[in-house]
Amino acid sequence: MRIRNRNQTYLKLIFTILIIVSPFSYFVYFGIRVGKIYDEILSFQYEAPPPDMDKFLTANYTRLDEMARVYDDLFEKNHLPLNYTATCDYVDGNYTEIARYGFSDNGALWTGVAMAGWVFHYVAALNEGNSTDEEYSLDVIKRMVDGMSMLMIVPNGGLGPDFPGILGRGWAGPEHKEIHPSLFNEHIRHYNGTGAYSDYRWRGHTSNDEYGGYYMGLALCLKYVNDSYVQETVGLIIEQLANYMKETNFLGINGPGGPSGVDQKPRVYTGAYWLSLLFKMASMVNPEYLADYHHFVSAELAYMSNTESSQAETMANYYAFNFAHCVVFSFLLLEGIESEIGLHYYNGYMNSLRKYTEFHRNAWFNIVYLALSAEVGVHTDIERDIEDQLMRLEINHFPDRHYPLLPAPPEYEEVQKILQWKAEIDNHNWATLYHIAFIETDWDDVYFTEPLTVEFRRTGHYMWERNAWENTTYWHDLPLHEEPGMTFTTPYWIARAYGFILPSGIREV
Amino acid sequence: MSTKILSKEELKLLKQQSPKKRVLRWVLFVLGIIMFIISILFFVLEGTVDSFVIEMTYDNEVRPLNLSVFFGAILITLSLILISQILMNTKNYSENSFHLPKWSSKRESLLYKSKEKRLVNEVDNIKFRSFAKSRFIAAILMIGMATINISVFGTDIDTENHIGSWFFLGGPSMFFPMSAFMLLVGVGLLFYSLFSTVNIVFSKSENFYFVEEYRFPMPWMTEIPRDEVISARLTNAKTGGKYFWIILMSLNLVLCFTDGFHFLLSPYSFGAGLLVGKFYILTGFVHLIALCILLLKHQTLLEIVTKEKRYEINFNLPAVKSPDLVEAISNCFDLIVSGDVDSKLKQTKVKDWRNIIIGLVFLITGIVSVVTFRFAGDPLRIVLYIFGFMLIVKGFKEDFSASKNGFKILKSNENQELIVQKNWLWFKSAYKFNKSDYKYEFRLGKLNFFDILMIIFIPLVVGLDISGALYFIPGSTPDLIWMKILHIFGDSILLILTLNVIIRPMNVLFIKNEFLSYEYPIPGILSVEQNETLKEKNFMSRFVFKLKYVMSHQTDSFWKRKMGVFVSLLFGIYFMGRKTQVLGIWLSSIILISLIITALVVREYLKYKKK
Repeated sequence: MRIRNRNQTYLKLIFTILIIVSPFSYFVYFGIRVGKIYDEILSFQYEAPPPDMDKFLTANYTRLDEMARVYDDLFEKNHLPLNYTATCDYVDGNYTEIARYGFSDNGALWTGVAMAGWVFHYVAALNEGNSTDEEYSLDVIKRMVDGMSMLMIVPNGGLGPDFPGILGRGWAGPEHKEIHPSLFNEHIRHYNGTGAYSDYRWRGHTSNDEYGGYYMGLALCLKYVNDSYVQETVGLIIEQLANYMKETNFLGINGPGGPSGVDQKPRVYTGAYWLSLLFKMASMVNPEYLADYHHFVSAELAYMSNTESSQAETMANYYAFNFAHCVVFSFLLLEGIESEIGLHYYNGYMNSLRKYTEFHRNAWFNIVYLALSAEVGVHTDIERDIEDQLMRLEINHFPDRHYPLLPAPPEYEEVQKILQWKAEIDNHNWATLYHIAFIETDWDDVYFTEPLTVEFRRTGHYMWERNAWENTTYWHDLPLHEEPGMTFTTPYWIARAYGFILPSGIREV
Repeated sequence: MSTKILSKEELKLLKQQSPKKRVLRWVLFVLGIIMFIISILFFVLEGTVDSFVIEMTYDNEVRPLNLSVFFGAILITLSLILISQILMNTKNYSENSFHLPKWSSKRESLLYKSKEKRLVNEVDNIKFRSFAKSRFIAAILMIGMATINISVFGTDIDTENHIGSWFFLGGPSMFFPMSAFMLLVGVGLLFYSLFSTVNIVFSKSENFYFVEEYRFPMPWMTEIPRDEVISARLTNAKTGGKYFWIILMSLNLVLCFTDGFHFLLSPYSFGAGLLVGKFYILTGFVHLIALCILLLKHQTLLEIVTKEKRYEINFNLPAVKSPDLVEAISNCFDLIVSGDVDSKLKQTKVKDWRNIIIGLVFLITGIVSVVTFRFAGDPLRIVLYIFGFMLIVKGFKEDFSASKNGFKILKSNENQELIVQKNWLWFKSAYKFNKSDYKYEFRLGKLNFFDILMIIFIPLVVGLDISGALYFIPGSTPDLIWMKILHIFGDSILLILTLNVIIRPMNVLFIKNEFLSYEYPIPGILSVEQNETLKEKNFMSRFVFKLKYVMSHQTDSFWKRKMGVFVSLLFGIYFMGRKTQVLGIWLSSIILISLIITALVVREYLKYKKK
């Protein structure tokens, strides 16, 4: 029987609340402690000494232009076998004959990133009145738009809002078995195409990484490429995606029709850029989506989730910074930072993604910031940092092959705080509980107190998705293996289109 | 056998403090303090209890996991429970005291001890087994559904599959969003229903009611002095804290129905999508049935209020004997009175559709919004679902009575006791008030904890919605202007409906005696006198009259409620202002503080004027 005094209610109430709250106090304390440890170990990325500008290589714009042409030429010839980005292995040191192509798990992402380079190549050509370059880049853009459209067509059977909108990671037709043989092997992510494309193959279980790059490719084409084929195709893809996402409650769908686990709805206070970008694009293609866009931003409270990513990614999933930049950059370009929405999202970007990556000496992150925020000459330190990194690519990443790396300079110091905290946690009685809290954290890697420059770092599809603070411990010299070169071309052409990098000459220091 | 009845002196002695209980109280308090210190030291010194170290598999690797932190949490809670015993009763009465009938006899002889067959209304020694069957059925539904979902979807956490994953790519199987949480709830309910099974004995003597409970972990008994009782009630219609079930289950239900219907009704769905959709809907319906059982077919409450205390016991009556038992229990606790039916009432049927209609408006607004992707966004929708459902349950259980003898107020000619009885479907309530004055008045309906939550949350999310619409929807096209108008209009309607729920003048039976002041809502019923006053007035004039009456009689309450709504609304806008910096922190704060000060000043002025 429950017996209560009719008086004394406040004291009882306080005790009742304390008893209910008390078990959580332990977990709250534990959570706060974990948060503080995170802040402590990740603080190194904000405490790095500013790069010594005297040690920056002076940009030779003429040479950078020459390098860009070489990278672009190789890309266009050898890295678009199916009109979406691939790596290649050459038969021999003549670098003329291709032995095999390499398709990553992120065909849509890397094609989107490459598209950024080519779209701004196109914009730079327009700005500079170079019609040859304009045609050349437009041709490559069209090929990539075709490849991107096939990432929608093969899984769904067609293009446009009348079809479902499952996005593939890669695709190949029956005639491409030699180009992309692995796609014809049995794998949990491999499926046959739909409808007229049922003898095609595609790779599914598509992640948000993929959507990030893919959305960027579409957004940049939509905004900058004035070509009827590009506009029409990209428009159909965007409407198809927007319509389908509304039907699935913004969930990603895998090959057999079930949810893949991907969810593009914003989570608590973060992640609104994805659907904001999708609906912004859709509203530009079809004004009927304008109300959806504003409903999503205002009524669904997406504006409250205007931040992106987390500082913890520096020691966990560094690649997430890359695709986060894809969606943030594209959305802010389309919306502009002058509107109420644009300014609000821009503030969110500055308070999150930019804050976390400001000192990473990452040319891609830096050029996104400059393109969104600054006039030429305002942030010469950042401009010169980008140029320095691009110039240094010539040391051992030009062309973008797996050449031998230089060892990290001896003056680079390991972050002691990480070692100390690792030791403390490992020796803690509740070590295993703490390990769960830090399960995503890569404790075993070596982190330096300042970021490495490109000559000490391994390349890949896109070097900028890799951690500059981390020592390179895994590398095989393989000079016959060639990456697509976007590490250079994407930041270079954006910088050139915006006038941060000139077509020729040498930077005046 | 002689009849034992306590003398007045013996009764007086019982009301004094028990030295033994006082010692026990301090012993428990000191033990609690010691345990509290140990629990703090346990955390500071990172204590480990071996049996709290489990093994888990992650990334195909078996890893130990030290969960001793849970032991510390249990320790600190137990310590606070012991410390709180400083507030325990120390009078000589038995209150939840250990009791074995063979060893300890009652202080007084029971009034009827004969085992001969008697009429029901003579029975006052009632024995029955209470088993929480509604919770048991709800638990079985949840566990059963979870078992089905496990068999269909498995329990993988990070393995890609061809049916579906949740939360992240290749993440947990669909069992987790559908049933994992509800499985825990179901297991908790199952344990509760099994361990709360109790044999209850109600009896009475000349001076006491006795409540004996034979339950886990030990039998106990409570004595309630009859001469101190000022009111009692027996009801199976009180929802009380059970509204919390709606909040607890709301996220699961919203997820099941929202994603379920998306998968099922999308023209592009196929294969595993249809399977997932069907199971989402099936799971949602099963959980909804469990929720309805928990809210509508729950235990009976017996509450006895004395000058100092409130005694409450919840029990389930065995279905077969239920009608007889209700009558017997009513008789045992003197809830049956033979007297005159109050003649001041014009009608005797309680009927008020407003809660149900407003609840339906909230629910339909949420559903239409999610279907059309317009007006209410996710945060507003979830709040509308929760409070819409609560209002429907409240309206269904409390706002109606059966047409024949559905509502009766009886007054005893002998001792001026007042009995209020209400019947509606399977809901039956009987209230008794000793020696009370009563009258019929228009007053604001009483607010429970969940009504106060509604005052806070609906204006808060409406504030967020209004500010979001005003700041982020440009007036650049006619469509967008209409969208803004829709938000302003819709939010205003929602606010008006919310205000209507919480500042609604309704007729109450106002009962007052030396120790008690109680309001029993009787919506839809007017006294003859009230009817005379209102009969010439139309609908609006009636409302204005009632509102004026309430404002002049309940100034404090009226302003508190109104300010509650406005403050929450402004907080909604304030959050928005803080996030966007459009309105600005300071501007929002100034508006908020000014309004609170204004309200306080107005309130004081009205008080002064009333004096």
